[in-house]
Amino acid sequence: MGESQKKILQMLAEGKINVDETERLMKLIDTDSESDERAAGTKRGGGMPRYMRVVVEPKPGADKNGGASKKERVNVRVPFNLIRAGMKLVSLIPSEAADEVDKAFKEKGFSFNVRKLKEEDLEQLVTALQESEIDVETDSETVKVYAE
Amino acid sequence: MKRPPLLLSLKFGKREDGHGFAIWVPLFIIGPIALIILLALFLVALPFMLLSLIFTWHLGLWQHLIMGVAAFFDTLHSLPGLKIDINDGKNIVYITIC
Repeated sequence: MGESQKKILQMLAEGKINVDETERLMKLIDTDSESDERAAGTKRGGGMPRYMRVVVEPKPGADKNGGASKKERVNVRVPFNLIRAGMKLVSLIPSEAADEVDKAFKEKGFSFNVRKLKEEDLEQLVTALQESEIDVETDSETVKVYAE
Repeated sequence: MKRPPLLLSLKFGKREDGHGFAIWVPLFIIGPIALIILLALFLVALPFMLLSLIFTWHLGLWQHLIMGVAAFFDTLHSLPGLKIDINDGKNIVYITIC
């Protein structure tokens, strides 16, 4: 834990700041360290996106057409590290469960063996996700999936 | 850089009547305490674990357990930055980990 994070948590514990302010400060520190990493990471091929975002928002005036309500929205931010860590858990799936997963994939038309997934495959998949951007617009809402 | 999660913020509720609850969990306080308790439990169970390890190593369960613990901590340290904010017009689910 960095000094700044310690200071923020100390201020929270002392009641000098509230949880929302703590969240904002933590995010700012993360952004700072991210930009530092980006600056230092030019040799590594520039700053890589750290989060995958899924945003679903209603279009203005969509409520009138019987579409999504103005209040309905989805805003999800998933760290790529979490996706990587989660995919590593695949190797821990018991063989019976892995068979079920493979069967479900086959039913959907994918010839995929979850137990044969290797570290390199995972990296390729995450890299592909980092480079992908999905932008769907319907009459009532906008769906965006992108890396940031 | 990976670091353990420090703060968990949860909000669940209904939009119309304002019912629901919001809680923030100071993981930076709970984490070290949980770690100390786990370590103490581990030390107590260590002799029994070593004994059973000798007799059951050939079954391959321990490798899975060790890998599982490593994967659990890896996942835990990957959680900071996760944000889930879902609103279906009636209900709200808001989870952030920083």
